[in-house]
Amino acid sequence: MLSFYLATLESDEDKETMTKIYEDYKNQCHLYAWTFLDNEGDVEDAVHSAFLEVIKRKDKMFALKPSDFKRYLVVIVRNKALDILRARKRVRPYEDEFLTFAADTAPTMDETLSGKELVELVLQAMEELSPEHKLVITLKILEEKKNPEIAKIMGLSKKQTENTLYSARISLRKKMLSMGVQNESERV
Amino acid sequence: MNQKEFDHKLDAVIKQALLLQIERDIAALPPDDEARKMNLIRPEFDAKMRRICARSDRRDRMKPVLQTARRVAIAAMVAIAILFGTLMTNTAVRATIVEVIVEWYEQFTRFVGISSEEEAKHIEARSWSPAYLPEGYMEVSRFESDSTIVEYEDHDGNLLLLRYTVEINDLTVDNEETIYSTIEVDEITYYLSEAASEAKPNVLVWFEAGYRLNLSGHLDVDTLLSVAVSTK
Repeated sequence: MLSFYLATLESDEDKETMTKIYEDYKNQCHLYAWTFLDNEGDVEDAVHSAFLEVIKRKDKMFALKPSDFKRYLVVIVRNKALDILRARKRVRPYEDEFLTFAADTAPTMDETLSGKELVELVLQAMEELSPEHKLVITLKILEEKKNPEIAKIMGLSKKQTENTLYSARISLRKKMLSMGVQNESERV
Repeated sequence: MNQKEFDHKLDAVIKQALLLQIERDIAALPPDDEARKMNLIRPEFDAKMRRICARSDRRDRMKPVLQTARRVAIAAMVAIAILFGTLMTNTAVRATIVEVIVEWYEQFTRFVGISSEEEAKHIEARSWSPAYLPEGYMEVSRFESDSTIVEYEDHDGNLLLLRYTVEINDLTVDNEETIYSTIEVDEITYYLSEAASEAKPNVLVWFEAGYRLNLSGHLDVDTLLSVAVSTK
């Protein structure tokens, strides 16, 4: 597997760097992929795709500090794993379950909840999202990718990408509402 | 705070939450020397991946090239046919700033809006809404981004989606298991993708006043068309 990656690189220096990266992170990447996936084949696919992605972005990634590089690599492995999960169960846009709204005395994003509490709430709500929604939100908000790029990564049309992102936001918003947080303007 | 401000604030919180999750995931991973002892990687994996990737890598590189060449060829053929037809019926040519080329794919019907960049700047910004909605339907949300998406819902949870944009973007409509046709009403051409099964919605696409509009829902064609025609 390593020689395949090396063959796609051009300079000897790049090959040395990639060899070191592969040897340093391959085991942890496998372990991390196992936290999302439940079979060896999918784990290998996710890890393989992740290292290919590193090579594709090598100009940016090879220049990173080790701590930043590891963070990026973890995000890549996570996205590849989510993509595999998403491909397994094709979630169509619009067919999300809408939850009921919280009581009108719920705290808003401006009051009561501290920033830390709100972040924890969002984390909890995100855990309940489908793999497709998790992936599109990660790509759009964390990695700040444009919609055409997301469409290419997820194998969707541009329209489907916009609709998936839209339904992901709605789903997240409504899960948060069911946990007791709402926009001030939505308070009845 | 309005919906847009709420969304921006929520995006910032989501980003913080995702970063926190990644940090927690990294902290939870054992150090490399411990992970190595777990023998997670199959020795056969390296050799197998080398063979599979060497073959699929060449095929994958060719696939986008072939797809692009095919698209260009089809678009050129249709463009020539449309221009020829336009020349032959000169009096029927409308002075619009958008010309549409319809491309057929194996799986998708694709509308490539071609408009003058300069003329696009002069398109008046506006909101679109249907004057007619079937009984029970009401607007439940409006999402503004690169394009605007408006959601209508009836008492049974059936959705009707209106989407519109002034940008020069591609729109792809899934035409697998759909019947494609065009309908002319008041000098506007509505491109209909009629679903062959109940599982898929019917979709109407049309161009008006420099905008591209898309209406989709599980309504019969006549009702959907009525909503589209009333949308101003």
